[in-house]
Amino acid sequence: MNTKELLSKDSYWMKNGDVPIVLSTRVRLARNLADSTFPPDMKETEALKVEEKIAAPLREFDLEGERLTYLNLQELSAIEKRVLIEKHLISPAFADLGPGRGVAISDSHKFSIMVNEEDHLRIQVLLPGSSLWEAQKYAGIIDDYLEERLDIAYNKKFGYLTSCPTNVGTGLRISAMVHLPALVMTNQAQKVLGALPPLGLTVRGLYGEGSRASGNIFQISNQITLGKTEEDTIAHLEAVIRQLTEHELKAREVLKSDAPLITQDKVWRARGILEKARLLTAEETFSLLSEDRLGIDMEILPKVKADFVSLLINSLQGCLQYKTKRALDGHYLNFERANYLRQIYASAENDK
Amino acid sequence: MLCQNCHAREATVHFTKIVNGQATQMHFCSECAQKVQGFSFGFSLHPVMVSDFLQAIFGVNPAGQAGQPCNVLQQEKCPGCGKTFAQIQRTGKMGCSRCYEKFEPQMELLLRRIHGGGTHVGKTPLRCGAAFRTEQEKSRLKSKLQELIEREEFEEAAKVRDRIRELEKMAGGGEV
Ligand SMILES: [Zn+2]
Ligand SMILES: [Zn+2]
Repeated sequence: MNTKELLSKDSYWMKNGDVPIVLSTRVRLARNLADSTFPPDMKETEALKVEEKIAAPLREFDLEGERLTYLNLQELSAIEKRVLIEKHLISPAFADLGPGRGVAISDSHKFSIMVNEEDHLRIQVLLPGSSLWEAQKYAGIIDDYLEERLDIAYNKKFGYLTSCPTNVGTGLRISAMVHLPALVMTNQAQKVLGALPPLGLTVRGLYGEGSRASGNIFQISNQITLGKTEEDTIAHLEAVIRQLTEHELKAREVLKSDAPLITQDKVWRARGILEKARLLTAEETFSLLSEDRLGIDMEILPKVKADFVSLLINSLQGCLQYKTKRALDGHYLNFERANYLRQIYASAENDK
Repeated sequence: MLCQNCHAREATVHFTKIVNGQATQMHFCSECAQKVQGFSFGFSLHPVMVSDFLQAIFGVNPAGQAGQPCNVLQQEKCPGCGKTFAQIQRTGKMGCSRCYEKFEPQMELLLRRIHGGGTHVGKTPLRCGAAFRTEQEKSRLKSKLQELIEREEFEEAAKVRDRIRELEKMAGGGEV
């Protein structure tokens, strides 16, 4: 697949459909070659050699008809890199690294493998909804495939060896992106999410600014990678996600029974602005889309034709610029963003 | 990592801020996070990257705690990449896979603090061979057995014990 085709499409993980609350899941494995310096200390010649060694089997990979396209980082423009960051296919830190770096991305963006990020290999599987076990299965297949072809650093005591000791052992980082608008509105997010770090889980507010995480989206991931099996790690996070979902659903029930008019007004206002506004900042957009989605989930608002996560990601600067093929800033950016959303929401209006 | 605001305290609050649609990573200490205008998550975040926590731990100097003269240890170099443990402490990053072997005692202490556990129990590469996989499965089952006995789930414990015996028989028969 050529770069343009690959970057223009929506990632599979952005198509979460009607699934509420758990928007997407990610499984990431950190792996290294046994006989090379870890990337942060690598000289350029070694980085190039390692890149070629790893890229070769990646180019041959094929899983359920899904193939990988290898993109060399040096050949990507700043705007293309930004699109990859916004679609979670590379990390922000990766974009600034020097020669000998690249990323293999599968046709649907389900799989992406960064070469020479902090570790020689970062295998990532991204799926919509709550799909940790399925994502883990795919990551395992890719891992086995590479292990047959490369000498992977492993130690009987410490497991898979990684550049940062926080990843050593399984090298596994799993996360779920959750949408918790009702918990935030009812001021319970603090209490509920505050209980997670002592359980060995990390909570990050995604896209946060202002008095709350705008978009009301949080990413929950595991911290511990040594002394715990992959299965236990997944089962643990899954149980926590299930509980979070229950809390959020309960909060939505409370909104429905105790504040029906306020809730209806809030989500209809969000819908109104998305349909009519001419200038929208990213922050405002995230709040509006979150409220609009809550309204759809609670069957107050009619559905829209686009997926919630797709709308969020496509409202970001990189994606907007890539689509309009223009450098955008200030008013123009906010204008293009409002245009994009108005087109989607105006057609929702027509469908009724 | 130091706080972006006061440049004095360790940054413990990390989040992605969007300015003009561009995602920027922000790092504050908990005090400044409260103060910085426009920022308050509505909940006290420790959401914290482990890497910072890690640097704080590295600062504690595990070498010293191991009771060995620091300066000798600090000068020893990894045969793979040439890094000393002091250099690893400073950056929080290992130089190569052999650093783990070379600095095993220090690493064991450190990893216990980060992860709670000190030994890997997860996936094993196929090339490590069947014997090693069995060995690992056995040690996993043994700790599970311990847990079950503590919780007084004896029926389940008996099953696990049978499975361990099976593995032992297999291993015994396989060895020359
Ligand atoms: Zn500070
Ligand atoms: Zn080394």
